[in-house]
Amino acid sequence: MNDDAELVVRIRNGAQEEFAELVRRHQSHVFAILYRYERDAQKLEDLAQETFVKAWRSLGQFDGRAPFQHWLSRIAVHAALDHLRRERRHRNEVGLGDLGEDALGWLRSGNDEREIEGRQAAEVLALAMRELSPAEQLVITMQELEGRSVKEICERTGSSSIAVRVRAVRARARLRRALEKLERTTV
Amino acid sequence: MNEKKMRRLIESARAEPAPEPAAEFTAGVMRAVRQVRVPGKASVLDQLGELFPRLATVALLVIGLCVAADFCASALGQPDLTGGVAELSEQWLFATKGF
Repeated sequence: MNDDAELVVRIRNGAQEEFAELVRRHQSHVFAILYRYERDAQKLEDLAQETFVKAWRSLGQFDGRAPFQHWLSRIAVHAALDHLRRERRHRNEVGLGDLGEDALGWLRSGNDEREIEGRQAAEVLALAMRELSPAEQLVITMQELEGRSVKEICERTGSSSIAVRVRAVRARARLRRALEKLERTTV
Repeated sequence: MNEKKMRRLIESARAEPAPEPAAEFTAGVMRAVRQVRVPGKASVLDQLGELFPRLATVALLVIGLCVAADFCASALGQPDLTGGVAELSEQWLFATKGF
């Protein structure tokens, strides 16, 4: 990863085609971040491309003090937030149409020991998340799904520690209510 | 939904792997970035343009016009800028000596 900074210098000095190497190195990481916010394959790819184009535009601002991947992660997180805000205008209602039978069965079940497969769980969560604001979705995703600390969330979002903590508590409460609403709807 | 069930849901979702990018993803990104201006070393004019979008250009034009007018005035035997400044300086010195 140390030579990312050297690669950036070469790109700035005219070796533009070497940006492809940066994309190859970090594309999986960017997809992993963005997949938490967008599950549709085509939209995910568009979002990842948007992230790299933003990185390309801002490459002059990369100072090499932090690892390139951290810098790129921040761009991805902000791209995700913009995307959530855009998407929110189009879909506000929580619907069960997209959920499979297994996920519906799990929601209906009163048994809290019952297992749920990863993909189904992510679909249920994505549906419930629509009830949260984009900023709340961002915080709860980073904290609960990516396992990030408050400090890391602050670094990636540019928010203050207090704002992140308050938003996380509120987001968790709203997520629980959204899940309970889904449970009631399936019964 | 109780805490345990919610926790199970989150843990299962966390374990889901993200899809890998398609093989042609990098090529798509490179096609997109080729349409964007080159990053990094911006020319002086670009930097000025970003800092003062039109002001810098207008200021340069005014300065250029003034210098050109001064040259023309000198060529036509009219008092030029240097002469004018010298005259002003003398007047100022004279004024200060008066006090």
